[in-house]
Amino acid sequence: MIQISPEDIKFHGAPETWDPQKCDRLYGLVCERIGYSPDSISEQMHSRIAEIIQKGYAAIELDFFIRTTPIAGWEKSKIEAEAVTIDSKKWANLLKKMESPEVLCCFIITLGKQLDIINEALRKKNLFDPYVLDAFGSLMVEKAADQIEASIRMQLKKNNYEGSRRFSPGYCDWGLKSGQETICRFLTPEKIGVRCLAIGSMVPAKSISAVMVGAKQMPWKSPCRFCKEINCPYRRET
Amino acid sequence: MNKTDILIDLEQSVLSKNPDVTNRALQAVKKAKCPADDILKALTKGLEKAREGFKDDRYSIPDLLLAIDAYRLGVNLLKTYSSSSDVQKEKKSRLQVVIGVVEGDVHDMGKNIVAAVLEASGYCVHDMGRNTPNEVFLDKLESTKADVLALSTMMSTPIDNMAELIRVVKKMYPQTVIIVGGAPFDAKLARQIGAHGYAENAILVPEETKRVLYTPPGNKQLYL
Repeated sequence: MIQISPEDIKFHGAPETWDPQKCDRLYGLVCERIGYSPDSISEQMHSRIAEIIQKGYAAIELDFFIRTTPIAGWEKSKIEAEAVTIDSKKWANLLKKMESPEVLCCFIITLGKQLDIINEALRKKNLFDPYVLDAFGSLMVEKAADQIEASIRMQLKKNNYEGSRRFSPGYCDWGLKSGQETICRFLTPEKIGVRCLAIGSMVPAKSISAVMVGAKQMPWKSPCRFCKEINCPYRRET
Repeated sequence: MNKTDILIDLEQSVLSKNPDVTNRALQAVKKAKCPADDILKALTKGLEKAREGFKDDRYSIPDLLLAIDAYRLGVNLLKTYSSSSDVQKEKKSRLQVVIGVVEGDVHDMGKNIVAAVLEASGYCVHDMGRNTPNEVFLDKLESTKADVLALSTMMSTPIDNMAELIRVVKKMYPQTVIIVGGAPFDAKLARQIGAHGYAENAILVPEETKRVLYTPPGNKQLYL
């Protein structure tokens, strides 16, 4: 079975391109995320947002862990791997359309606890600053997860496999609480300082757990095309 | 500038999206020795305008947060005006709201907006924070005999726990009306778990609170 270890993961262009001073786009993305048009805000507001982004950027302590497990089979509503069971009818159905789905690549990534600490301090002062920091953190952790996803896909490709889109507990029809329990049991994220709470959320807050399927061929990388929830905000076209 | 103009400036400063402007306006009302009631009215009017702006899409969430921050700057200044016993007495005379995010959830932005908006609408708000165990809510209801319990969650997993809290509150404190809000809710789910009221977004909470409070006891239920 194909194995992918943390050493195989590359963050393309990181950390330089993440630096807000070197990447004006980041400022624009944060503004967009909080509902502001970067061109229409005052200079004073620009400085305030930029300062929060700088503070947040300095606090990032990126860490991640990745582990693979062979897929043992799938039924109508679940995927069975050696060490993980995924209760998702939609993803189980997608596996039927793949050729030789053989591996589940599970990963967890965190931006570390410093961001939470800063956010906690900011919320004692006002509501606006922690809102911006939260948006920045969400943006960055998604960006980091995108990079891991791309890196895993590249490793799979090297071994003549294709990689699905990543999917996380709480999305699609995979339950948050049970999904998080499963993935945390397998990945033991404590080693990178991440705690999974009984209710399904994670501490530090800016952490993402996810799974990707590796198969010899896959015509579709997510079940969205076959899903009736056409207005789902997380819908992906491929 | 006369006192009226100074107070209009303060009201406008709540909408300025700039804490420096609010601070200057607050200094001016202090210097002019404007009465505390008038200052509070000006701040409340400003926040109410921001709320209206949000309702008709002229304001975004961060705009509203900035207005709430400005309002709070002003309220903090007012605290220095009155003795703490006066403040306590005045607070007790208002309708009491206990608010918080239930155990298992740490997302509190919506709750923070609701707390500020209810405060500006004249309620005395006891904010229990986030990830709050049911016992903490019950203790506060016991000590305040609150008129309203406002519960929030952004996740679906704590809803069973919230339903249990509502069940206990209805039994122990039947005079307290319960309002819920957050991403997983619609009116149907809110009703299913026994809430009297539900607001689709934080901004609509004052209207919903009023509706539930002034509905006769037998009819306190959500209409779908």
